[in-house]
Amino acid sequence: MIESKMFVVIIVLSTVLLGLAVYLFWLDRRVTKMEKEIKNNQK
Amino acid sequence: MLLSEIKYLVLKDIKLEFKQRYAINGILLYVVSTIFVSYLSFAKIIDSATWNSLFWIIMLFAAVNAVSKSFVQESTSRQLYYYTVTSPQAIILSKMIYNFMLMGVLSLLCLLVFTGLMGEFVVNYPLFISALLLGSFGFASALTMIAAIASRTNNNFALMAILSFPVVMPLLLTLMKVSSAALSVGTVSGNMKYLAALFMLNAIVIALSYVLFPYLWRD
Amino acid sequence: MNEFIKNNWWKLLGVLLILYSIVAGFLIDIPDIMGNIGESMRNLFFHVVMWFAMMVMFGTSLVRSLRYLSTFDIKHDVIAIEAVNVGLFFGILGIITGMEWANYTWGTPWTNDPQLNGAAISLLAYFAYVVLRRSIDEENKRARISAVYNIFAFAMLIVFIGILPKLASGSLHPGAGGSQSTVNSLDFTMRLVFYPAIAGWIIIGYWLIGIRVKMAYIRQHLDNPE
Repeated sequence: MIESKMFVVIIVLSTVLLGLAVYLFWLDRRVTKMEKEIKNNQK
Repeated sequence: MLLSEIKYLVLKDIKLEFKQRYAINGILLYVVSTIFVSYLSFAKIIDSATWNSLFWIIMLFAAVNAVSKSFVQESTSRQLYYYTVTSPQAIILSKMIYNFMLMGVLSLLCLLVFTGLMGEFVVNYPLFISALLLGSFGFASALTMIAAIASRTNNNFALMAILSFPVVMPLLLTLMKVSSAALSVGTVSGNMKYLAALFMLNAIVIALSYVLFPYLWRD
Repeated sequence: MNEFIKNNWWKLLGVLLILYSIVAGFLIDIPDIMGNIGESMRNLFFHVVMWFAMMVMFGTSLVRSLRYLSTFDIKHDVIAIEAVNVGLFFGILGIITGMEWANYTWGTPWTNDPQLNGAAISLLAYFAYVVLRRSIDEENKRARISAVYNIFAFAMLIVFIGILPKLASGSLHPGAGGSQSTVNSLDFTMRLVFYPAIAGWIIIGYWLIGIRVKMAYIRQHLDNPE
């Protein structure tokens, strides 16, 4: 299975999607923190 | 009108320099000490590639050092005076010309001391000298603009280094190519495309700076 | 639901285009050129695409910087910096995937190839842009000065990615020093996957910029309670 040159394509693609996922989760965390801050300010 | 402004500003900078000798002394000291240190550590194991890289590394840092001082010297009140009297284009061009002369002297000096201490490696002098000249021009133009940008912020020298590194890289790489050819059997004609590239690089930087400096000067 | 589609259809389009590129990218036949590469040529759709998306992001940032300098409307500056951030995201992914591909094909993650070094240094220029912005506090001054540097950074990008590789010769990277550039000699079926993939990632890029811009405005709101 690992013989085929296809393997590296799978690695590259997974890296790209993983990178995107990590980035999105990181942005999401920042937005959630901001939401909490807004809620705190409104109190 | 522009030319006379430039001439006036350049002469002013030169006169200032001769009176104070602040920048020249600093650079001189820097160059001589770094070359001396290299001599002490490298003299035995030098070959032409190492000679080349060392030379240009020292040139690079001396250049950044030298040019970063060009916008720091005058006080804010004096700068306001200049703003009202001269056009920003004249200022940036005059500083570039001044720095070019400074760089020219610096590079020749570097070459002399380097050859003296580390041995004579240059085979094709015209090629090397033309590399030096184009390089001085390039360093002067690119670094003057970066110095202008960095002078508007607070943490001057570190920022100057960070900002100038990417901008100076293509210049440096091409210069090293040309000069390594000068150290071996390269001819001027053979390296024409690199020299042309250097020239074009300079032209781009200068054109951009000319257009963009007025925006920086607003303060 | 219709409201949602009306505003966000383009995001869906982007995702679909990328999905298409992934499926088609694995299914189509790859012509056998360039010796060693073989099947891993499919990386064209996933690695090279990152670089193109990055260029578009940086190009957008350049345009916004220019527009700021001509109008002094701060909105352009906000987009400029966020475009650079997203561009850096694509660029970093491009470099990482490039290293993975290189390690697999040539045995080492980095060669001293002008295109690789040039790409890395271009990214450094934009990192320097970010650093520059952090060192100026006043909003308009920061916008003005970073706009100027943005133009230089983009010029460097052009020089490094377009011009220098043509000058240097003898590199493993396809398209350097006079060897046939892969993009120009691309097989037609591959183009059918390649271009939509780029379009898809550009859309995702703009989506990301939009999110970051909204975050920036909220952050501004929070910092300056009126």
